[in-house]
Amino acid sequence: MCPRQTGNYIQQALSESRVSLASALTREEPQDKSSTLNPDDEHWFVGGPDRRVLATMEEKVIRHMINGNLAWASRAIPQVRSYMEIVRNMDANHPAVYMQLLIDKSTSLSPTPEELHQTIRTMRDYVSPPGDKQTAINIDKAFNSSGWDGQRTQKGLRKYLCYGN
Amino acid sequence: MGIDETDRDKLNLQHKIIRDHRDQVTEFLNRLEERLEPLHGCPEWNQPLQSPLCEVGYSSNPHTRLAQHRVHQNSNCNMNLAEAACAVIFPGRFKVWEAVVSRLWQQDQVMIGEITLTCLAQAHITNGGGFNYYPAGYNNDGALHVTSADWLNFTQLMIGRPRFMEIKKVETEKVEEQKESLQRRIEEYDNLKPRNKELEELLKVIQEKDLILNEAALDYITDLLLIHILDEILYPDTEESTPQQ
Repeated sequence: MCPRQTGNYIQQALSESRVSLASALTREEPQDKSSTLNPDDEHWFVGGPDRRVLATMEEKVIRHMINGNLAWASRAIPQVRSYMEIVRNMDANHPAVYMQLLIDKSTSLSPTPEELHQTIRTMRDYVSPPGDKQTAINIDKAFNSSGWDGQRTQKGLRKYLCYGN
Repeated sequence: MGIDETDRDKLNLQHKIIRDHRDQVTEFLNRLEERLEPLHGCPEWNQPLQSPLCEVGYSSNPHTRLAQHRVHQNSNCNMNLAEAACAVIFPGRFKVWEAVVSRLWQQDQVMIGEITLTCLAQAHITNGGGFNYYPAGYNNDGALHVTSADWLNFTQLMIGRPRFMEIKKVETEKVEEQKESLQRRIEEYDNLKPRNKELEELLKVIQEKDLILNEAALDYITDLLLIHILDEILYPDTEESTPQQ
């Protein structure tokens, strides 16, 4: 069996440090003919799969994913909105990466730390039965309660702590 | 937790590894509290976070998957519970917003794509940034059902979209610029290298000569001193005997 060759620059990087190895894995080394990594890249986008994924994404979308609010941006920034519409309306079975955000319905902004603090207190109570039983019952029937028997919450079980909900 | 073995057998890898959702939720809450703690007493305490809590994932059928999340089915317990708790505490105010952010078109993008975007969005519970408790890139079995012919088709679809081609063009130009810039720097360095070698040689010579000069100087001084001493011995009155006119 022919062993899979790894580029010299990978081996070189490994001999330097783990940090060098990590950066080498994402580095483009077209000159290194001994490498069998990403052999098909040159006909399409250069670089590793991570770079190719990012290469087709709107820059502002990436920026808002890193440090911002994509829900707000997709309403407020036309460039982001049009990009989001395109990726949303593509074939339903086209593989994708998706993102979900907890936001205010009207403003698309995040809850405040104060509001999250209240949420944390309620969730802590929920995960420590018996706690506030009525609140737990309300939580368990807030979404898609058809598959969950409310009596189970009464008995100390919690919908969101059970396998498969 | 009230499930029989038959049900348990049907559970996927995720649920076999994560035995207790309570620990996961508690961990999530601890990390989120740590994130919020520095804001306590600051004006920001009552202002929306710049980056909302988030969840990032891969799916071969994103619309179906997002619909599952929407009804809290086979979803993320941290996110579902947070949304349900918000619905009880703040009725009608908060929701989980969802969107496809990137379409993939090559098989090797599945795992790395999910990892990259999850990390960029800081969606893991590790630092209180998001709801993801399951390691990104580890549960992408759905991609196994996508055939090579499908991937080829997805590639063609992406090529057919002017918007992506536009982004690709700009990106390619940037990469080319970066490569050119790097190439220029390499050439500059290559140009400097021979000069550096010359300088190195010169420095060597200077150092060597400097050493010789020092030795010569020392020899010269020693010679002068010896002559002076000899002069004093042999001709003790010479210096003082100025010719009298």
